[in-house]
Amino acid sequence: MEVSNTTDLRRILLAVTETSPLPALWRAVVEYLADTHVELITIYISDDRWHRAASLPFTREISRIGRRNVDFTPERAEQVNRDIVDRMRNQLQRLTDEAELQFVFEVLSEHQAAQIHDLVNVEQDVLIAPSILKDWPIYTELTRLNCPILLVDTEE
Amino acid sequence: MPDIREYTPELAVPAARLRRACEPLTSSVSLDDEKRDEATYLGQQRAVESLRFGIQIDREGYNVFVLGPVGSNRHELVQRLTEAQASEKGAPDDWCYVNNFSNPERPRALRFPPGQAAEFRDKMHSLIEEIRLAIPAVFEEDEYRNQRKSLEAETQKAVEEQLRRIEQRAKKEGIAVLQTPTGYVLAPLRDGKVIDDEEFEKLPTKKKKSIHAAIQKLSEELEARVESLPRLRKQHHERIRSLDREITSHAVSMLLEELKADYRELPNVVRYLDDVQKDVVENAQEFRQEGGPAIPFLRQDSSAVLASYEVNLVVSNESGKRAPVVYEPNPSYPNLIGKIEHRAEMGALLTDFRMVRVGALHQANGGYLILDVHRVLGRPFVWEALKQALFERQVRIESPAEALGFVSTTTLKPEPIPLDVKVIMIGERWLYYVLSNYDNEFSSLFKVAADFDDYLARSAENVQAFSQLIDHRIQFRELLPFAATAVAKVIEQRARRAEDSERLSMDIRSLDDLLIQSDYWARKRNAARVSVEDVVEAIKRRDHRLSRVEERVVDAIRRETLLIDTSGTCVGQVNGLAVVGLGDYRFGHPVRITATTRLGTGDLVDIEREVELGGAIHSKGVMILSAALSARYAPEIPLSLHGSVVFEQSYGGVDGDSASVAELCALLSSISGVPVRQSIACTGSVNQLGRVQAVGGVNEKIEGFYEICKQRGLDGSHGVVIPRDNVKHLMLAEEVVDSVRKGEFAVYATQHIDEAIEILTGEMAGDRDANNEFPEGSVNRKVEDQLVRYARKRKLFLEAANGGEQHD
Repeated sequence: MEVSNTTDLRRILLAVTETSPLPALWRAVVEYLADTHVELITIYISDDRWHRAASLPFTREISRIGRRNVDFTPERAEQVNRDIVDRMRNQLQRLTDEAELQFVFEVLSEHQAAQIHDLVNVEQDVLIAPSILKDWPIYTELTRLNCPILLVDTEE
Repeated sequence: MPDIREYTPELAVPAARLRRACEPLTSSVSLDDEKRDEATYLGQQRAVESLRFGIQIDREGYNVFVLGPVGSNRHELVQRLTEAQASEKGAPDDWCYVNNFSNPERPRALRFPPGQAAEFRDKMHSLIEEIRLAIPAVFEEDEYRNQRKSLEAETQKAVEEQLRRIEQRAKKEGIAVLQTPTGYVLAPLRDGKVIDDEEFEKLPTKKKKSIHAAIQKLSEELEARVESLPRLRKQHHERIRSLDREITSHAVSMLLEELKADYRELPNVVRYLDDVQKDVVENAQEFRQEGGPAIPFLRQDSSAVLASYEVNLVVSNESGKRAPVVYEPNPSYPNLIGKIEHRAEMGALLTDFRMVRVGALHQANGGYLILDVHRVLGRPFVWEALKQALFERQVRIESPAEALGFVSTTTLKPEPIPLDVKVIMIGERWLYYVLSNYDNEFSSLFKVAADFDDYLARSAENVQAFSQLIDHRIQFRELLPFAATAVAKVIEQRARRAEDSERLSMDIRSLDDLLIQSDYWARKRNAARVSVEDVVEAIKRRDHRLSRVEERVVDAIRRETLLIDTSGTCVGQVNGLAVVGLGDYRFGHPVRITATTRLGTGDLVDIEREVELGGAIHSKGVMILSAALSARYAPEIPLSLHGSVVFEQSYGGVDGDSASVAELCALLSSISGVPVRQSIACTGSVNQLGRVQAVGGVNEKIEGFYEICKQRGLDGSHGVVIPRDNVKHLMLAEEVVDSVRKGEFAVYATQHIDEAIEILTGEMAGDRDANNEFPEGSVNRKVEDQLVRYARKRKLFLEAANGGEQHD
């Protein structure tokens, strides 16, 4: 875990992924919320596995309620991705509403990793990210940022 | 024509016998309870004894039918006697209707000792409030949360385990298991990353085939595992429900145990509380809901669930009090049997056990129910329902339409309540006799008849007792005290109302009316006491209020529109007397009766009957005349007469035989040619032997003729012939009595038609002598001679018609 001195903290960057449970990350965010002037920027990092899986002609989606399997098409992949993003945004909205906090929600795909530099360019920022991100290619980009990174183990 | 009073002095009724006065009576003494009871029951000893018997005997079918005329104070007496008996019985049990959880369409009836049902209702209300708070609280407790969390974790673990096994196997095969919001996707991996179609195409064919095969196999396995997940979830829900039941049951049983202990002597109540406990546990979810449902009509409101534990208290008695005495003035079906109300909701009519309403039978259960017979019989279905309840000894609340099978929709069938009630029905005599004759079940259910008397014998002892009854009524009605002379006048009026100088009317309603109206006139003159003048004023004013029609009749006679002669003589014409009844008021007036006779074949025509204006009794009277004529005057010859009798200027119906003396006199006058005095009127019925018999309304009849004669000027020739048997009924107005005393008017009492004919004609009627002949010149001789002449002429006619052949 790499953490900076938080006394001059201005912004919190929260990196979230589809598979990282939000509550654990949010607890880490709350610890930094002593100063209400802190800004919260949430970066949702979506991987392209849905699209890759959907590009295969034989991929099927097996229904949870059984016997309703359908082809997993690019359109379906797009919809699944969109649903996941929406769900994440709504969860965050609820949490920030409770904390009376404004937040910005950005979506980055893996191949847009370089754009993260545009968001993180201040030394007083801190980046909170799930530990699983360490295994992702984008983590290389994150380590090049000028801000400290707090990796949170989201496995409970 | 000799003076009538000189000719028949023994027939004139002395003035002293025309009205039996009452000596002034001491009154206005406050009555103690015993005296008041005696006064109240005066003259009704038979009815009171029957009522006491009927009320006290505790056997099936011994309900009471109180017979008696309206106004005989039946209700007050019945109420008083039943309340006295009810005081000796304790208060009956209370009843509630509660929900039947296993079959809500059949609400259960719960019985409680008196005074305890209301307490039970309140305890149930408090209990439900406590449960409403206790159940959500128990679900908020850490113990419950931990147990539930543990169950959820176990289930989750089981589900994840299913998936984890697949994922592990997939990983070995180089396949990723991706979770979408609705399912799973299997995709090939390369370097831990899902590959796309371009990368896949670059793979060797063998590899591609192995990936295909692996995905196919994993899909099948995944599908099999997915299909097992609902069973896991179902098991989970069952375990959660079981936990909820356990938690709720524990919480509820703690609250209910105390209540069950309170009612351990009432097994039905304890059983009901067991059902409540079971139902609360089953519906625990409803107690956990806060606020109303999101879509009210899609889900049952929790308040409705709470309402199902309410108690509908239908009969509540107070411990230590007497048995109920209920008088139901409007015994309609719902008021007597009860009803099931409905409420409109979303266009449908709904009901439940809380809307069961009981009737008078329930309220009187364990006590006495007083009903008016004519009201019971006049309201649809009530009589049958009452009999059914008494036969079954239980009250079953159902709508009449349902009882008759006209309704097919489902409605409530509340559990019947056992019935132990004494029904006392009050009605007029004819209703009792009609029911006795035409309803076979009546005598099985109403075995006791309490027959109220209309009259009281006017003995000295009874008169004194009646004065106490008057005192009681004065106190009851809170009237001014009555002077002794006023009380005496009231008693005289009671005899007048009874149409009998030897009896007193027991119509308490009309007695109260006279007392109240006398009190009014006394107060009007600011008197502290009601005087005899006030009583006279009350009678006079009442008569005046009701006498419009009487005045019209008198006026018509005065103006000679209605032809009535009060002087001179006339053959075949007699002043009869009629009585008109207009509600509670009656008056008499003279009616001209004429008769014509000629040679005929023995026919006597009653014109009233011919035109269907005569009643059966009147026709019977006229037929008796024909028989009387034949038997008396033509026993051995054919009655060769054609006679007709008619009430002149009578345009309405005529009934009764009270004019038969007058009709016979008119006939005899017509046959004999002897004229009849028009200054005398006549009333009375006659039998075939010429015996004059009593009739009704004699006072009104005499007064009616007196009024006409008075207007034309009384000269001593005027009077009325009445049956001797009616003398005891005379209670004439004091004005008439005074007039008789002065010799201006007379009342003659006759026992035989001969006496009447002598008074009316002033001639001797005549008795048969040793040769069986009437005296020469007597009226009867003239009648007989004429009838013999008719017979001979008829014989001659018949001989001529048959060519001179002789006939006997």
